[in-house]
Amino acid sequence: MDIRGHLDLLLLSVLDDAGPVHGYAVITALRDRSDGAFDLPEGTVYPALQRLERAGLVASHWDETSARRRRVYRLTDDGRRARAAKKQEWRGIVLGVQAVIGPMTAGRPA
Amino acid sequence: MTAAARLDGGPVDRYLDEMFDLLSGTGADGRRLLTEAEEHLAEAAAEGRSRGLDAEAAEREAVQRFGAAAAVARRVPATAGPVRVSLRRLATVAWALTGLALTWFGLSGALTWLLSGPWTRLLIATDRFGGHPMCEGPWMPPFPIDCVEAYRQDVALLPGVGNDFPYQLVGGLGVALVVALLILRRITALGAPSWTPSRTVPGLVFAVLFGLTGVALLIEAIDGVFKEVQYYVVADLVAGLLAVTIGAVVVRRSRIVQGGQPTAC
Repeated sequence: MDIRGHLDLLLLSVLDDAGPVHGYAVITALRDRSDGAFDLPEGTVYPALQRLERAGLVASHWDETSARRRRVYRLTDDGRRARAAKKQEWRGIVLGVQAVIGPMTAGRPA
Repeated sequence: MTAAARLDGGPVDRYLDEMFDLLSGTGADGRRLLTEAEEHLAEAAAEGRSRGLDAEAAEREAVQRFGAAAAVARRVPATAGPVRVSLRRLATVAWALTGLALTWFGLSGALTWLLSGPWTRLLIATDRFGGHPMCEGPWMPPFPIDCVEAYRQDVALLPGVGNDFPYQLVGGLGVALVVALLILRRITALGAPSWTPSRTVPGLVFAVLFGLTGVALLIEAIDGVFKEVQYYVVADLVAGLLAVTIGAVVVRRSRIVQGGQPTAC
């Protein structure tokens, strides 16, 4: 499934729900929670996280306490607000599309 | 798995080498991505081995899931400043624009030459030869083929260039330049952000100039129809339409996407 354009919302949601986590955990959570539905090159998540950080929606720091040096990401307050706004926007899109194609029943439009 | 447990010269090593080259000119963001990629791939390969894959297969799978190095690296913005980065981007722009201009010029000439036969026959059928010395109306040519061929010899393909110009060669060279750039950007460091100009500025300047050229040629073509000087009408129509099309495509691809972050060409 092509998720271009929606990656920001997915990443913000994972970070909001999972709390401070490193990139690998974000990707694993994304894969597990979507039941593997998203065919996403995993490497593209890191530049996306950097972009969200530049936008002030995510903050990060190096975690040197474990055996492996990892960058840990967490949502900022602006990120939390952006997530809520994007979620609302997404629900609007879903409702609009469903109104056109009909509600989903047994895995396919009615 | 620690970095030391990586296979020497294995898939992860080769991938990181490639990414290192591609991230040239990206500064701290690039170094950070490289570190995160290394740790990610180590962890993914360890996970693969824990599922029973051998070391080589686990690394291959980790690299495959991570995505093509060029596709990942081009998402990291280049750091502004160094003259070298500016020169690299200028070289990419020059390459792309040279390829597009040659493609336009060569294709325009070749297409005009191909269309000049049907165009001449249309002029004959509609008796619109005007003042052409060989073909005065009302037109019942004794040797229509000769007249068509003679007219084709007079077709001005593009201003200032005769129809013995090697248009196919020029067009082919232009297409080869564009295709080579696209391929090299996928498989070499030419796809790195430091080689990638912002789409917005050079793309829009080029598109506007090209689009205006196309509009001027189309106006000249329409003017030619009314003045019955059809020998350059077909050339202007073809070159003008191609220029407008190329300009429109470049404008479309020059849009700013992803929250104001220009993407790679």
